[in-house]
This record gives sequence, structure tokens and C-alpha cells, in this order.
Amino acid sequence: MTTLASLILRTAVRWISPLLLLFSLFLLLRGHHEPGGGFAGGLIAATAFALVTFGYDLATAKRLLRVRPLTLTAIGIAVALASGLLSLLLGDPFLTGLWLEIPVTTTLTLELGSPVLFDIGVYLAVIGATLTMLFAFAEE
Amino acid sequence: MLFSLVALALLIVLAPIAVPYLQRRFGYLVASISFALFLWFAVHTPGLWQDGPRSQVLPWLPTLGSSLAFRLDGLSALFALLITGIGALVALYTVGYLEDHPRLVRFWIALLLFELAMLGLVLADDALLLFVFWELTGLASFFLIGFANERPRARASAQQALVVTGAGGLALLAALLLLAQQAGTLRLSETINLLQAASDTPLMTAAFLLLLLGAATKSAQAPFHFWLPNAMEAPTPVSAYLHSATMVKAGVYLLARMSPLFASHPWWEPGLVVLGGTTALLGALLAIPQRDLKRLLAYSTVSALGTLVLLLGLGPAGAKPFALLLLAHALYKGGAFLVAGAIEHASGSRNLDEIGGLWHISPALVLCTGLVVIAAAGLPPTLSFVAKEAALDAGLHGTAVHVFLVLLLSFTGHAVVAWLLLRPILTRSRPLHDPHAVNWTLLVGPLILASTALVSGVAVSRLASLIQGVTASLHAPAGESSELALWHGFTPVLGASLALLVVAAAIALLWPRLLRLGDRLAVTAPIEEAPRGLGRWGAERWYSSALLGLVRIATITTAYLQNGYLRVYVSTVIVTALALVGASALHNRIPLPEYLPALLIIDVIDAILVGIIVVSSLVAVRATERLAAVATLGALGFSLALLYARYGAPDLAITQVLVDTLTVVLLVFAFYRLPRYARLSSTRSRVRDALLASAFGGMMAGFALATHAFRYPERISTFFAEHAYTAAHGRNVVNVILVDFRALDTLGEITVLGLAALGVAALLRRRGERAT
Repeated sequence: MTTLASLILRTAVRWISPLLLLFSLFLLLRGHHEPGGGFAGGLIAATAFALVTFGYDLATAKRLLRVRPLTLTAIGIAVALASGLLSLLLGDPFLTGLWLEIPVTTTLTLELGSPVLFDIGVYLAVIGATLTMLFAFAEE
Repeated sequence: MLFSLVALALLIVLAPIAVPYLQRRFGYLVASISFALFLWFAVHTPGLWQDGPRSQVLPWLPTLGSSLAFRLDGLSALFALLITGIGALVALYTVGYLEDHPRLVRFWIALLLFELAMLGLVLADDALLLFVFWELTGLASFFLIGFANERPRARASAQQALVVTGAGGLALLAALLLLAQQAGTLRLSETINLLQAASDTPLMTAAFLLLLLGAATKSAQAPFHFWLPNAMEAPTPVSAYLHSATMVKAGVYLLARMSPLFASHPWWEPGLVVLGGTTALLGALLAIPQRDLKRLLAYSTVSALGTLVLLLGLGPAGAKPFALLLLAHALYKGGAFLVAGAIEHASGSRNLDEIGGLWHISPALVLCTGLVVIAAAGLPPTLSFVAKEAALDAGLHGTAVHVFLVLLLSFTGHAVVAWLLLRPILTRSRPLHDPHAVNWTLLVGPLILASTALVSGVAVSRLASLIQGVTASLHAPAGESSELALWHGFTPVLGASLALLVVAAAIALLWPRLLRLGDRLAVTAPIEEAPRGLGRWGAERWYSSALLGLVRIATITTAYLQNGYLRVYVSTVIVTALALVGASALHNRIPLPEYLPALLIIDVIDAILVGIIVVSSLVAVRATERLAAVATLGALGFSLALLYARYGAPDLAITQVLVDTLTVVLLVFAFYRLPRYARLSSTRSRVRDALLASAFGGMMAGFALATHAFRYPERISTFFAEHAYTAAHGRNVVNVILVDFRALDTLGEITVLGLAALGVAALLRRRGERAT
């Protein structure tokens, strides 16, 4: 598409897009306890790239993404699938949540769990799928 | 037993890696593994007679009551020996036959898949397992018939075989499920023991008929016989292995396996005698006027399969001849096919009318052909002779004379086919298209098969334990089958047996005339040619009309249901939902909650939000500009999100906001591609749509209210709320449900999302390509 973007939009995008990406990661990671999660985070991240497409052009957005959005979708689904397969190795049913508790200080423990990995898979798949459609529309 | 299947599965996995390096030599590996399995079964078969069947059970689908149950008894052992033994010879033969064919990997995978499935089929003692293997053999057969996929005839034949045997497979599944339901178990051996006493109920009759249908399609019984001659499009090793020695006998195996259960059923004997007898005669009759060496052998295989079914129909009296003929036929017909393939390989033709002077091509091949002819014609002292004597004897001592006559005629047919195989040796040579050297691997198979048929005829008493094992599986009394001998003295049966050989020789001499007669009547036609003459009344004609009819019906339904208009799809979905759900709601008198007035009291903010939603939907519908419509829809979405947020669903609110935002973004991208925003629909259709939409909205609102009237067992939501943190380490219950409690649903959803994205991308790209 022809670039109709103004200088104002470009400048704004330069600042807003990284912030949006950071915010999407924040939403993804807090999702287990507070509102948010992989789906919402993924949509936010996709918006960041949509803004780049508006402010600059499609090629820039694609370059910033580095991988093809369809590949990202596949990776996302694979990650989610793999997180479910982990429990199979331990003899539990597919997609059983596994948690690893690492004590950081006496009061604080870091909890790593396969559902978080699953949510990351959702996050990547949502970004990939949304951008696949978006880029397909933006393509001329 | 399981290890044999595992070994074959490993070979399948190995094939794509090893074949590119080993090329044709991969065949030696397959042959040695098959032979090793053959030895294992050979060593363990005699023991079955004393110690009873061996079984092995592994858990598989415990919730369905199904397990990986395998059982090796006399009947399975005979089949397993044939599958692995002939499998080894066929693998060796392929080395010389396909040489370094570019699609060797595909061939070996399909052939090994078949060997695995067929072995699994005869060892399976679980109804579901049996069905899975049954279908797998059909699938492997499909790949192998269509191996030369550049030829339309091969593709059509493969499809025909798959459709016919696949349809029969469904009947078999129904039969197996009926049996399992009545017996309360999926274990076949238990089912047979449990239901044996009560085989005369209507349900058992239904099961019997369905079983017969499944067996008849697989074993090419009339009127389903036509797929087998067409399956000769497959490479010859496949024809020898699948379409004469093993797979086509799967139906016969099934009938034999189930014979203890159904033999006392009043329809068993007449059903099998008529089915098998018709097939035996039809096959013999159709075989004679065939020019194509392989089709000739295929029709004669049809006839032999009919004879086997006929013998099963005779009950205990037929058990011994059944076992003998099964073995003898696999040996001589497998050998005959391999010889036919070698002749084709050497002379470049398989037109029996054309090939001659085999002496000049390969004297060794002449020797093999001669041995095969002796075995196939049933000359003494071959095993086929013993089998023929036993069968005729059973027919003679049966109740009806017509069985004896049918047997006599079908054996005459087999003998004619055997004598015809002498033509390439006896007729003069003609110029050859493209003579090929005959590799030793092409000769080992027929040589071993034919000489086994010869030797086992002489030493037939050594086969006693094998044959007795089969008759025991058929629950035939042991005394009947204990005597096996080559020589029974001068009996009427011997006279008949020798007389039919002479008659067959006379027919074989008249063959060129019969061939012309067959041409004039056009009894059979290749698959892609429209049937003429007598072929118009053949069963194949019904098959092709049925297939054409199916396509026609599909065209009509597609034109209606998949008309390409999104609005029609949406209205169809809405009308269907309205009709089904609404009717059910009215029928069940779903009540509205008693505290309805209390629900109607809403506060000011809610009233404003609802007002915005109502107004913006009305505006969106009436908007004359696209941008206005998009903007009002956005307002609608955001108000909805606010409502969610107010009623304690922040996750839903976030998602709603984001989805709405992205929808607007997508619309902006698509803006330039969309056509002019015009009012195209008539007022009438608008009114209709408005009515539909209001009815649907009203129904959904009614349901939302009605849910309040129900007292739910609060288990699910309280369970989620209670366990979200304790079991799943999360305080956000919605997220925990998405990524943990109901993660499988989410996995499905993201997969659908990915596929939808793929679809959108593909559609837009196609549009772009068409535009340029």
C-alpha cells in the first residue's frame, strides 16, 4: 500500500510499538494471576506490528518480525503441544500441568510451570495467525 | 508374536533411509527378515497342536475394553506361514522385477505395511484390532494397485478396489460391533465361545449377513469379483502376494475364523454354498476367454476363492479340504503369478496369444513354468492333487449332488488355466518387443513354491499337524481330518479327477476359438472401456453407475448447500439453530426465572451502555458510508467490553477491546480493496433479515434469562475456583482454565486459528494471482 503516514504517526510508532511489545510480554507473564494471558498479549503484540505497517510499510514490519508469520504460528502450536507432551514423559496424561518451584529468597519462590510454556505457545500462535491475515490484507 | 509386527514396523521406518543407499538390495534385507519370521512360525506351529493356542495381550484402549490381543492358533499359523514365507520369496522376486525403479521407497513401504497388516489381521484376537488391520490391508493394496500412478487405468483400478473392499469393511465393522455388544467383550475367541449356543437370534442373523458382505467384498465373491481382475494393474509381485496368495484370502479367513460361531446358523450352509458356488463357476467361466496372462490368473483366483467359501459352507466335512486347498492354491497360484511376471519381464508382453518360444529366452524359466503347470493342474503327486481329491470326496459324500458338480466344474476351470500356461513353451516364437535377461531372483520364487507343492504332496502326512491345527480352529472333529494320504486307491473320485484333466486339456486346445467367441460376446472389458455385449449385464456396470450417481447427487447438493454466498450460509445456520433450539425450548417449556423483575432493575451506567449498544447497532445497519458503519460497530464493541468489565470479567473485556481494535485495523487494510458501499439488497430481503436477526437475538436473550432459572450443580465452577491456586498455581481462574484445566480445548483453538490464517492467506493470494 502507498505510504500515507505522516511524520507524526511515524514518530509515535517508533515509541509506541516497542512499548506495546513490552506491554504484551507483561500481559503474557502476569496472566496466570491477574487479567491478561497469551491470547490478549498476542493480540497486543500483533497490534504493534500493525502500527509499524501503518507508519512505515509492510516490508519494514516483515523485516522487524524476522520470521514469516505462518512459521511463527506453527512454532506457537508446536510449543503448546510440546508443553503438553512433557507430562507424557513422566507418565501423566497429556497436558498435565507440571510445576518447578525454585526458592529465590526465604519468602519468595520462582514458580516455573508447563502451563506458562503453553501460554507462550498461545501467545506466539496468536501473533502469527493475526499477522498472517494482516500481512495478507496489506499485500498488494 | 508382537515382535514380528514390531520387526516389520521397524523395517517400514528404515525404508526411507535405507532404500536410497541399498537400492534394489533392500529387497534382500526384507526377504531375510520375512524368512526369519517364517522360521519362527514354522518352529512354533507343531507345538500349537499339543499346547493349544498361544496368546499375548497388551493394554491398548482400556476405556473401550479393547486391547492389543494376539492369538496364534492353527488357522492363524497357516496364514502366518503363508504371509511370511511367500512374503520372503516375493521380496526376493522384487529385486529382479522392479530393479532400481525410481519409486522403490514407496513400493517397499506399501508392501511392508501390507505384510504387517496382514500378519496383524490373522493374529488379532480383538474385534477393533482386527478391523484396523483389515482396513490397513485394503489401504496398502490401494497404494500398490495404483503404484504406476501415471497410468489412468492403474488409478481407476486402485480406486475401485478401495471403494469395494472399503464398503465391505464398513459392513464388517458393523458386524463386529453387533457381536461385541451381544457378547459383552471385544475378544474374538471369547465372543465365539459365548455366543456359540445362541446363533439363531435376529441380531445374530444381521451380524452374519454383514460379516458375509465384508468377507465377500474382500475375497472377491460374486457379484463383487470385478475389482480383482482390475487389480492386476499392480506390479506382478504384488499380484502374486496380495491378490492371490494372501490378502484376497482375508475374507475367507474371516469366515473360517467365525465358522464355529455361525456354522449352526440355518443360513450358513445355503448362503456360503450359493455364494461360493456361483463365484467358483463364474470365475472359471470368465477366466477362459482372457488374453492377458494376469487377468486369466486373476479370474481363476476368483474361482478358487469361491471354491474355498463353498468348502467352508459344507461345515466340518469341508474343513480338511479347505485347509489343503488354501495351502495348495497359495503355493501354485503364487508361483503361477511369479512365472507370469517373469515371462512378461523376459518377453515384454503378457498377451498369451502373442508370447511363444520361451525355450529361446530362458530354459530355466521353462523348467519353472513346467513345475507350476504340474502343481496348478493338480496332477499327482502334488498337494493340489491331494486337495482336489479331498474336496471332491467331501462333495461326493455331501447331501447334494450339485455341490459335487460345481466342484468338478471349477477344478476343470483351474486345470484349463494350468494347461494354458504351457502355451508360451509350446507355441512357436514370435519377434519379441524387448527381451530382458531373467535374473535368478525371478526364478527362485516360482521354483520354491512349485517344488513345495510337489514335495508336500508326496510327504503329505508330514503336514498332518498343520492341517489338524486348522481343522481344530474350525471346530471340526479331529477324526475326520486325521488321515492324509496321497493315494486312496481306485475310487470314483480318482476317476473324476483324471477325467477332468483330459476335458480341460481339450478345452485348452480349443482356446483360440473360445477366445474369439469371448471377444464377440465381450464378456469382460478393461476398466476404462465402456462395457459392450454381455459385459453390460455385469456387476461392474452397477458399480460404475452407482459411482456416477453419487457424483451427480454430490453436484446437486453442493450447488444448493455450497452456493458461495456468505449471507446464505449465515441465514442457514441461524434458521437451523432457531428451529432446533427454539422447538426444543418450547417443547421442554423452559421457564423464566421467578425473580425476573429484580433482574430488570439496572443502574444508570448500565442503562447508558445498553443504550449505546442498541443505538449503534441501529446506526450501523442504516449507515450509508462504510467508515460510519465501522466506527459505530467499534463503539458497540467497546460498550460491550465495558459491560464485561463491570460484571467482573476483566479478561473477557480485554480480549473484546483487542479484537475490536484489530477488526478495525483489518478493515483499514482491506478498505481499498472493497467495492463501493452500496445498498444492493431489496427491502423485502432486508425485512426478512431483520426478522431473522431479531428472532435469533430474542432467542439468545431468552436463554440468557432462562439460565438464571436453573439450579446448576455448582461443582464445576466451584471446583475451578477452589483448585485454581492450590492445584494449578494460578490466581486468575479464567487463565488457569484456558492453559491448564481446559488446555486441550485451547490447543484445538489455536490450531484452528492457525488453519484459518492459512486459509485467509491462501485465498487472498489466489485472488491476487487471478487478478494479474
